[in-house]
Amino acid sequence: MQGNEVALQGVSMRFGDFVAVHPTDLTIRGGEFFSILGPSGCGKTTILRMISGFLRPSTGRIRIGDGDVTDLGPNRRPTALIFQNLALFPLMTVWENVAFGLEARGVPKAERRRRAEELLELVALPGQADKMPAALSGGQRQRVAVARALAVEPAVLLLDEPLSALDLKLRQHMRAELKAIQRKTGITFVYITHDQGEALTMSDRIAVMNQGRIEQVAATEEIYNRPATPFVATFVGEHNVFRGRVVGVENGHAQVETPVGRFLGINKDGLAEHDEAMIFVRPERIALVGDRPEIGNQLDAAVERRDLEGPFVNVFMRAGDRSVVMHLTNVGDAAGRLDGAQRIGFAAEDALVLRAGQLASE
Amino acid sequence: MSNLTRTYGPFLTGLVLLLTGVWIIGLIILPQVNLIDRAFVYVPRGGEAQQAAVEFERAQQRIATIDFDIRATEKEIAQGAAGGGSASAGGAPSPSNPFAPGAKIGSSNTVRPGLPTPGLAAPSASPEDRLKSLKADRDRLQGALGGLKERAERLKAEQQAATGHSLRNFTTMSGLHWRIFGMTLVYSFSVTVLCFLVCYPIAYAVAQARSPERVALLMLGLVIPYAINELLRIFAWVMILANKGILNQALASVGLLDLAGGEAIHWVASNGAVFCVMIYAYILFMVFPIYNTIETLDRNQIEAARDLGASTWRIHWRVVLPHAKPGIAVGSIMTFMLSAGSISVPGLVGPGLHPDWFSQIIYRNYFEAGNWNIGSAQALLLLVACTVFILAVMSLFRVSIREIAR
Repeated sequence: MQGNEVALQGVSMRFGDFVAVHPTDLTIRGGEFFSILGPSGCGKTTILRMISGFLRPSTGRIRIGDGDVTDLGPNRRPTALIFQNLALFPLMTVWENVAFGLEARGVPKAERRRRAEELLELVALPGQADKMPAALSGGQRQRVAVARALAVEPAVLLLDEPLSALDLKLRQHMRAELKAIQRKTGITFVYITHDQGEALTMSDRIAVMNQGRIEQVAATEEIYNRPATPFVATFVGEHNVFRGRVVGVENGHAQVETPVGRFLGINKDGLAEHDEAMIFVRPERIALVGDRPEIGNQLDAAVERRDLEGPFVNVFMRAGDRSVVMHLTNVGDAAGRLDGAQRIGFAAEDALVLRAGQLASE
Repeated sequence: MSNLTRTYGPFLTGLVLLLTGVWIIGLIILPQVNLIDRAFVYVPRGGEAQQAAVEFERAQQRIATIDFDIRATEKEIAQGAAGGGSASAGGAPSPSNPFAPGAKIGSSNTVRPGLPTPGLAAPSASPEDRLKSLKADRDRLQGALGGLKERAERLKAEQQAATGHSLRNFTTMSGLHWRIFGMTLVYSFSVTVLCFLVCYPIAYAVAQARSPERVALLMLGLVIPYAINELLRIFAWVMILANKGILNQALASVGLLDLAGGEAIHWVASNGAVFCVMIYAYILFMVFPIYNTIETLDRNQIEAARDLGASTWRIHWRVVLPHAKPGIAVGSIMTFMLSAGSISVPGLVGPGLHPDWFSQIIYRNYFEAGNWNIGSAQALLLLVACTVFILAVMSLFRVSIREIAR
């Protein structure tokens, strides 16, 4: 899989005075499903376009496999890009679309047709070869785009939010299919998305970007369970945030004084006393003290609103001037009737203390 | 229909329909039907019947002239007899003299061979001799007159019997005119092709320009020449191509030409000049349709093709050109029609110096020869040629009218 590795070394991109991507080192391992996650304008598409060759980095080198591709044009790189709007050729039939890359390489027509049929088989679109793209549904067009990109046998497949135009059901279905195709082909997938759900469900590893910088690169579980920065913590999934100051440090944990109480959490950043800190708790890790009287961090909160999400109930509460969100599993009927003032709490192992910084919602 | 009345009310709807009807019937159908009708009716001007009638008329005029001369000569003889032959040396101007050259020219040009030619006696001959020869001429003419009249009437009757629709306007067109017709089509086609070759890169560049300011600037550059009247645009070229025009002066200034010494390149005397000016005059009719279609092309498609390894040539051939087809078809049709029917460009750029454009032949038949029927036939030829071109372009590009309208 070494041949499919992508390495950025000190790569940056500036447009005039605007720095789209700060100098970045990033290694995407061969054969992995790698997502770059971030809000719009964070520079993720710029990175993708630099890997694909449409943008030349202002500084740094890009290597794919053993070859330095920094100076190569997009048509000479072992990459294939799937565009956000797919960019199928509307005046060509499905199979001509799929075989376009082969046509550009001078493969004879019969061979092209055969390869196209194979690829359409792979993406579960047999028998559609002679249709025009406009005659296909959204999901089918998606598969044609994948087949077209795979036809050139790229070392790296780059996907620029290709699922964003689909409706939820189809999107979930296509996630599974993309993942399956990636497993089958062993090609390195670099997937750009602003949808953390998409990134979490499909990826082996994720890079979270913000304002032209990569905040964290880690495996999916680590991104979710041990975010490195306040931005990652709040961008990936939901977090309750309490700002405060460290008042005590003890064997890997930190005591944080916040306006709504003094809480203990994992001292991931190794903060010292008096440091500005933020303590993060996932809504699903908050519980009613009445259900779990043993938990350490406790506070009083008043229920403001309840939203039924289906599997769980989203309970919006207020503690002092802070709003707190709690997810209560929808079993029994207690969750649906929760009201008034409540004593809630969370375990120290479920709380993360990080150095104060920028949040995703700010 | 009911939709229209509901939207605009019965009065406005009626008015619009009426005006549309007047427009279609009065301004399109009737003139076209008239033109087609004329094209198939042969009016033999300068044909045999006409020629015979003219000859008959001329013979009558000749006789009247000779009668006048005879009378004058008789008077001269009478005077000579009274005055002792003082004018016998021919010193006194004969009244017949002013007529003589005209008659001579007329006779040599219009009277057909075989017809008795009125021989004029030498001025030095005696009045009696002249009188004798004049009388002989008159008798000969008088004798032929009957035959001429009979022939003229017979031909006229034949012609009237033959009048009706025929292809004679086309079949009698001279080989030269056919050649001009063919060359006009060939030239118009070449203008169209060259316009396309020039316009496609321009249109592509403008359509692909990323910054709005740049697009605005490029568009302005394209539109400004068109804010100028077409005649002025052509006259600009007249100034450039004239013998002492800008181009020759420029050549002279770098020492390639000696203008003062009378050296000059007669640019306007070639079809190339007409050709060049036409490309300039009609190029925008090609640029804008192509620009409009390329502009709607999703840039991602170009990038996708590039990403899949296609060369620039292949990207254009497989992605951009197919997308721009309707625009190319519209541009080609407009440019071809304008070139084939252009009268101002060949008329202003070196008129009469370069080989004719077919539109000039039509113009001359209508307004100089006064032969509208031949003119109509030629106009119809041009119309058919242009229609064939449109259909050919549409089938070649596989675009339907609907796509073109879009």
